[in-house]
Order: sequence, then structure tokens, then C-alpha cells
Amino acid sequence: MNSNNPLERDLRVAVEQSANIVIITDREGNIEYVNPKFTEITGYSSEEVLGKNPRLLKSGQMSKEYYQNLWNTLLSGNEWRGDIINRKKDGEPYWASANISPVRDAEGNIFRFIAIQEDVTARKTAENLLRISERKFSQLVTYSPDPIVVLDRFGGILSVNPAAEREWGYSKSELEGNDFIRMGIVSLPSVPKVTQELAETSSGQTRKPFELEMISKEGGKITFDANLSLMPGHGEGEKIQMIFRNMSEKKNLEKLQEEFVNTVSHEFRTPLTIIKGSVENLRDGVAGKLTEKQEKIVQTTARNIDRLARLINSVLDLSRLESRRSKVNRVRLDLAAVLQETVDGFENTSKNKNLRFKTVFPSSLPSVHADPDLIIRMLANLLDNAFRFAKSEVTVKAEAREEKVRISVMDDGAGIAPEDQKELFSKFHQIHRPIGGAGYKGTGLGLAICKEIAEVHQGKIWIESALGRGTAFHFEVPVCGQLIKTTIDDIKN
Amino acid sequence: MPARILIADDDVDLTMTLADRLQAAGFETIVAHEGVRVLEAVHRQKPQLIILDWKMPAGEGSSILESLAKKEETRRIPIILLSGMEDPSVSEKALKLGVKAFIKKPYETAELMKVIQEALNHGG
Repeated sequence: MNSNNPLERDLRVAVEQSANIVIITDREGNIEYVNPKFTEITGYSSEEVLGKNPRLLKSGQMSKEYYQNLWNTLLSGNEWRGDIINRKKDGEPYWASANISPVRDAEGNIFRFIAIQEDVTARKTAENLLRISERKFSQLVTYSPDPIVVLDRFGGILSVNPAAEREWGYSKSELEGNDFIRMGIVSLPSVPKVTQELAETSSGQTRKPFELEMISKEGGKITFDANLSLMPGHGEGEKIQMIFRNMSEKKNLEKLQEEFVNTVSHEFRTPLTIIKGSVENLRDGVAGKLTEKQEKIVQTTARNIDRLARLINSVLDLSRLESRRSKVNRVRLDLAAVLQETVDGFENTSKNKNLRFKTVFPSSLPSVHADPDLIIRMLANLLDNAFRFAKSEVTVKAEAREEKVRISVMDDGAGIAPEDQKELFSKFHQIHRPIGGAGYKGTGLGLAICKEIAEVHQGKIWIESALGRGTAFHFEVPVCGQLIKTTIDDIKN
Repeated sequence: MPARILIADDDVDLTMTLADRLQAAGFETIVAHEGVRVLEAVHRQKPQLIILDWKMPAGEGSSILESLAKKEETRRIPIILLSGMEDPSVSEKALKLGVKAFIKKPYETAELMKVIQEALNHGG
């Protein structure tokens, strides 16, 4: 292919420098020329392949018919284009986007073939990965137990998954193409909320899941939590994806729990009242004077009835607090007054147990927004513990700290080892439980209740203690102004 | 003359236990187990104090309280409300209808006796 013609020389340079593989064969398919790109990609030098057939590149991954079609096209004098998997010298496959043309002589007979191949392995691999990834996501949507719906920006349903058909009783074709809000699957009271959420999502705001009620084709009302998000669009504009979670089971469970608590509350109390009253009647001699032995038995019974009553009350209190269903009656509260009232109630305990009782309050404390009954309950629990474990002294301290009020209840008892402090606020956890029968026994719920009460008030409670150095429980609750600000922020969010 | 106390609760065991106690303390007792019987007993036997269960069959606590509050001869009888639940809306309503005190089940007998004594001293 030597030539003195400058154009031919330049063409040759172009072929040599081409970013594509160039292969030239004779009519029988024997390789006459390969360019440097061929060597670079396949790993074969031109000496290795000259005179050989290009089938040495065959990967075995294309069908016989594919090659048949290739040759038929070429031998009928046409150009062939297509993607083909070839194999490099080291055995590694590569994707080639090929263009093979027959070259004719002056008489019109084919005497040569020129193949130009572009290495498109990277693109093919990316396409393949994309396809796999698409299949993964579409499987997630298809097999999701939760309904997933894609809407356009105007609320038109673009697609639904099988779970949506299942949960709402409509077929895909009944749902797709309809207006999500207007077609009647969203219950009327939920429409304003859904409309607002859709508008805010499409304006690009990140939303929290919200509760809505849907109406199935049979007319049943089902509560769902829905999570909206903006899907990046491609040309046709952004879409909104809605993922639903059926909440009916959770709702039913909550209702069952509430019913259970109410039933227990009512049904346990009456027999307990009667047992308690009867035993107290016996103890107090209503049925005549008791022998010393009888009195002892009756006293043990009475003590344990009280314990059972305390336990039932605590379980119910805790259950109500945990479900956040208890009516928390929060008012602007003068903490100093509540504190004084509770402390007064423990004066007798202090005298009976011969323990000093120190109170350190400032003359006034900022108001807090709290339920007085719950605050008293918490203080009483903490004082109760302190008086149980103190050696000689119990101290109650209250102080305003920035935007919080801190109340501390301290005893000078044995203290609690760090490893015992972790589980202290969990249910039915008791340390230093008295061994043997007599004496006051805790319910193991007191501190769990305190923690719930603190949380209900957006406050916190914690312990500070070391072995041999007594124990302090600190409780902090935000002062009025601060709390209102927090609540408004919560609403905004 | 010992004070006469009406114990109104649907549970027979409870009224008996309480009656035993009150009798031992020197009171005269009447019991009623149904809401409708409460009003009858009040009119016939004129108690000086009523211990009333909030939840009674045939006559809810609130309707009994309303009837008692309407009549001149019964509206000054002190009432102690026994209740198994603590619903603030119940307490508010009951206070408006003249309830003197609330006792939550299970009560402390000593405390109940104290409340009864106070209600008798101040009421009527």
C-alpha cells in the first residue's frame, strides 16, 4: 500500500491513527491489514493475524445465525452494521460496534472487505448495569407489600404497583390515568391534607410521612401512612412518588391496648377494693378482736394487697403514659408551690424514719408548662426512693438554669454502681431489693414512670451516683416560654 | 341519733364490706345496687350522706346526681363519689353537680372514714 500520492499518504496516516479498529481482508476473508488500534485493543500484533481469518476473534457468544446473516449481507454486496462480541488474545471479550463493507473492483466484483470496529465495551457494560439496576428497582416496586404510586405534577396517576391494586381493590387500568385526588380513593376528610402535601412536595420541600384515609373499591376505609418524594424527571418533568403503609393493624392494636387498660383499670379495682376493705375490717376489729397470730396474718395480707394495688396502678399509669393517650393536663405551673406541697407530704416520713430532710429552693422559680399531678407523682416517686435508701439525710434542691428548671432529689445512701445505673429506668428493674418478706417493696416501675413523665414534658431525668457517695436524681423541664417555642417549631416541621 | 349513710354500688360484696365497716363505726347504713333504687332510697329513708359509684347499671352516676341536685330536699345531701377511673371530665361534671369528695378504688378505709366524717360535719 505504498503510495507517493500525498492524499493517499494522508489517508493512510488517518487509518493508522484512527480511534477505531480497521481490518482489511481479501475476498476469502484473509486479513491483509490491521491498524495499530487493532493491536492495542485485541492484543494481537499485525504479524500474528496477517493471512488469518477474522474468525479468530470469535467469542462464541454470538449465534451461528448472526454470522450467517452478516455474511449473506456482505456477499450480496451490502454493507453490514451491528454490535458483536469478540474476544481478545487473552480471552477477554469486548463489544465492537462494527461496520463492514465489501469493496468492488472495476468490473463490480467483490475483491476485498473493510471492517471498522469501535470498542463499545464500556457503553455496553454501563447499559447492562443500568438494565440490572432498573430490574432491581422495578422488582422492589413490584414485590413491595406497600402500595407505591407515581403521580405527575398535577396529581394524575402514572403508575401503580400490584400492592396498590391489592390494598385498594382497583385494577391497574382503573387507577392509571385517573386523578389521584378526584377519583374518590382518598377519603374526603383527607383530601385537604393530601392536596397540601402534593403541592409542597412538587415545590421541592422534603416532607414527613403523614396519615391519610383511603377508600377501597368495596367502600372500606383504611388508614395509611404516606411518604411523598419528588422523582427526578427526564424531559417529561418531575414526578411524585407516594409510598403507602397500611396502618390499620397498628390502629387496631392501639385500640385493643386502650380497651385492655380500661378494662383492667375497672375490673381489677372493684375486687381489689373489696378484698382490701374486708381485710382492713378484720384488722381493725370490725369482726371482733384478733389473736396476736391472726393479727400478724391479717397485717401481712393487708400489706401485700397494698403492694398489688400499687403495682396495678403503676402498670396502668405507665401504659397510659407510654401510649401518650393519658390526658396530660398541662397548665402554667408554679413549680415552687408544687414542690412545697410534695415536700410537706414527706415530713412525716422524715420524722418516722428519723432522717434529716433538707430543702433548698429559691424564693421563686420560673413557671413551667406541666401537669401538676404528673409532676407530683414524679417527685413523690423520687422522694420515696430517697427516703428508702438514705442513711441520715434527704435533700431536695430546685434551681433555674438558663431556660430550664432543675429539680434534684438526693440521698446519702449506699449509692449505685455505674453498671447498675444503665438499667435503672427500665421496667421492673429493682436494685437493693430487700431480701426476705417484710418491709416496703417497690413495684420496679417508679423510675420508668418518672422517665415517661419527663419525656411527656419534653424534659429529661438522669442519675448521678457513686458507690458510698449517695445518689442524686436530676429532673429538668423547660420553662414556659421555651416550651411554647419548641412546640411551634415542632408544628412547623 | 347515728347518721344514716346510703351506699350505692352495683357490687353486693363491696356494699357489704363497706356497710360492715360503717356499722362498726356506729353509722346506720342503707344499700342500693341499681341507679333507680338510689333515688327511691333517698326519698324514703332520707340519708345524711350518700356514697355513690359513678358507674351503676340502670342509672348513670351523672343522671342520679342531676336528679338529686334538682330537688330542694335532696340537693344538700353530701355525696362522696367512688370511681375506678380518673377521667378529669368526670370530676369536673361531678363537682358541678355538688359532689363533695372523690374516692378512687381501691381506697384506704381509714381515709374514706376521714372523708365521711368531714362531709358529715360540713354538709347538710
